[in-house]
Amino acid sequence: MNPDRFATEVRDTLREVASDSQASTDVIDRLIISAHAGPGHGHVVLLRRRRTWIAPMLAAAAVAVVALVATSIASNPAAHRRTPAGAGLSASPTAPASGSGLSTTSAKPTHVAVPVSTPTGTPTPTTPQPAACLTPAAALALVQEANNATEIQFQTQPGAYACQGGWAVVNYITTSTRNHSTVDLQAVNGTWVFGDRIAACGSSGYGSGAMPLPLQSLGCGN
Amino acid sequence: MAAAEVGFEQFVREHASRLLQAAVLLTGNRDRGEELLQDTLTHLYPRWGMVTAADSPIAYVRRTLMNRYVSSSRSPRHRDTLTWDVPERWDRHDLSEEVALRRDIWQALGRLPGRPRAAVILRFFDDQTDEEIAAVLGCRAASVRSIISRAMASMRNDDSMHDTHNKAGSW
Repeated sequence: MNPDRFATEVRDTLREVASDSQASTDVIDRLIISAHAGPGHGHVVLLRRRRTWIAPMLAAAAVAVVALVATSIASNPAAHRRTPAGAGLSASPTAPASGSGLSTTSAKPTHVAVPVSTPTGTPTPTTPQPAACLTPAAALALVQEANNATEIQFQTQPGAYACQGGWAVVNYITTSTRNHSTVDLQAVNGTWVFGDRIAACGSSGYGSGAMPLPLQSLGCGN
Repeated sequence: MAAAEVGFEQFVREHASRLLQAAVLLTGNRDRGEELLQDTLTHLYPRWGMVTAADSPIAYVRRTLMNRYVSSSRSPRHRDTLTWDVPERWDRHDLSEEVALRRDIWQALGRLPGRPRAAVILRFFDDQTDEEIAAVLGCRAASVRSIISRAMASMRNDDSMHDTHNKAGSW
């Protein structure tokens, strides 16, 4: 192959690869939003659609399902029936209500028995129930459902989503208004429901702008 | 919304695809390309007045993109972690001699250092002249010719390319 033909092949190769790399509207929106957020907010968009995530996420989801089923089977149904109504966290968690507004400081769409603030106003985290973590996609879907909006997506900061030990925190953005919000989710009787840990902290430090590490924010930065 | 903000959004919507393509070619895969472009735009947004004041805003942004790529490609972290993924769609057609050749070219390109790779992409993807590439890379036009010539020779002599296509008699 002579140099001219080789150069032609290089040109064709680059164009062929490039033709597969169009910027979708979603990508363009993320680029604009992240530029507005500025370099101080991190430069890596989390939770990109990586093909390499698919297998681990499916595996994690399968493990979570098996764990939930196993837990259900292992638990004594009779004991549940004997539990008096109203004791502890026995109130049935409900699915997030469609159409409810969600923001850092506004009411949550679903309230179940959750820890309350101490007299000083600083919430004291209770021991969360051990539970398999939500996948990021499932967490985002819950927030979208609660807001009745599909225009919600993760914020671009590192740590836009975190889940550990029965707690999860979602930092999200409403693309039409560019409002930044944070909500927490809690595993209650095997169901993920919205908690009020973040709301109890008020807006101090959790609104638009600097975002603490999500799981630390459950303790309101303490 | 401020005029500069509108201008920025308009620019991104108009040019993001072309810039992303260049970024993907530079970095070798889609995710890293998106990161590079995002990093570039985030860097430029506070200075958008300078971009719009330039003779060619797209050339200004492209130059920044290339420079940030070349700078990052010098870091040890980059050398440790850079992977050069072959697009999946090629897997379905890898019996074709032509596709095999392009796959090898793509991989040989991935083994070039940052600056020569940027020069090759500016020449063969963006169709830039020696002078335009020199302005982006901050060197003389004669140096550009030398860089590209050596890069092309290096790719042609790349092990995988040499083995595959010399044995096939097409070289």
